[in-house]
Amino acid sequence: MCGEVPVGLVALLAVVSVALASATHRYASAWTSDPTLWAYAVTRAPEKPRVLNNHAVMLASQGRLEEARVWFERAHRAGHSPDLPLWDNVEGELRARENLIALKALMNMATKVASR
Amino acid sequence: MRHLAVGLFLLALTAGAYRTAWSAAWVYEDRATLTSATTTTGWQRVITYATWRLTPTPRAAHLLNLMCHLVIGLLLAILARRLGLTALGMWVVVLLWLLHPLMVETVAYAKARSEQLVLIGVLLALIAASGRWWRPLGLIGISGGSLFALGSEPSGVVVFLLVPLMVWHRQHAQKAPSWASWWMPAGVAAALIVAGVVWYGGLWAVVNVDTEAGITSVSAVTWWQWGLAQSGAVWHWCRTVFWPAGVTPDLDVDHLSPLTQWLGITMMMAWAGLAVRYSRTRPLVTLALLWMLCMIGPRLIVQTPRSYLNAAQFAGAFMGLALLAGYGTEQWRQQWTRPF
Repeated sequence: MCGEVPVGLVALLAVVSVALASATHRYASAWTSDPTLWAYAVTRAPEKPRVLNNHAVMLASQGRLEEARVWFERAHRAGHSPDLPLWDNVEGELRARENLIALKALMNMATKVASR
Repeated sequence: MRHLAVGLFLLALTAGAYRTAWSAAWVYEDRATLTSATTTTGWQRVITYATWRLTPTPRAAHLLNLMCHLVIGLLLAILARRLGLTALGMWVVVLLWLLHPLMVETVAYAKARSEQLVLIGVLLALIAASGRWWRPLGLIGISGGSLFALGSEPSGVVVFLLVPLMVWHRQHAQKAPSWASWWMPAGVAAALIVAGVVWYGGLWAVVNVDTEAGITSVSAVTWWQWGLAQSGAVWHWCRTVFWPAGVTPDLDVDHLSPLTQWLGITMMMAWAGLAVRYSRTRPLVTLALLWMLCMIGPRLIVQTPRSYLNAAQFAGAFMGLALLAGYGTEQWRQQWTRPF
């Protein structure tokens, strides 16, 4: 016995505490930036348009356009996001300009979709 | 000394679990919230926005969220002791609050601070309501906590459900003067809710929108559809309490199955049934179950366009589950130490 509480119960609670802290740290790490957050989110909500779209925007903002294309198309297939532009238009704008204006437009779109 | 050791152990684990708070950037709608905080005037979310103006950098904002998380843990410990839990039960409640992954969203997402501030206000009011609430200090505590909750986020209105619940639960704990009946706070709270809804414009308050377009988008969803969807979310988050792998920043409520939705409704009905059943034999269980229903109930009714119950909004209900876990651990300990 440890005071009034059995040692076994104390040990069990200590193990639970450490396990929860470890899981919490893993999940908190996903919240450190938008790219990590949406990369995590698509693994938990792989059919949600907002999640797919925001992940695609993050990839595009990192210059990973081919990967972004796949996720934008998945966002379109997932549906009910009429404000999302067709990927071909987005890609054309990105390739033509490859500057912050295009990315800013993407971010605006993401914000618009995210706020719905 | 032993309490100090346990407290430091949990504090160290919490600091370690949330060490990313030092380096995390703004995420999701944090930037938009910061802009709102610096441009919006008016009384709504006045406390939340004041804290945002004090923390314009991500590090400061995240550290403040972490501090709020610890303060809530402390207030929960005080309330748990007041409600009669032993030190073991209290530490289980605090442990779950501080370290469960479901609470990550309230700490790591700066925008979710409004939910934390609501909970701080609610807990202050409940601590006051759990004592001699009719005395000046008690009334000041209830009023101050309630105003703090309401000034942080409209969802702070749950304080009008929880304070009467707490007074009712504690009616036999101390002798009140004849004029301070247990139903009096319930009457005052009901009057305030009705007055608030009328003052806010009736339907506008119930659907939680500020524009005609918002009214239209909400009207496209029936109450039944809304309640079913939210019930599915309740089931998901309750399941996540036991299996944290399902925790997510953006739950896909639209794709939850009808089975999940019905499981959510059934579970909440079971909570209500068990609350009635244990009202005399295990009043703390009744309190915890009704606590969860009070925290979730308004969200089944108040429609916010395209905004389903998220993990941060479930934090209040999680407290009820933590109280149940603390109480259950105590009961288990008694079985464990009972001689064969």
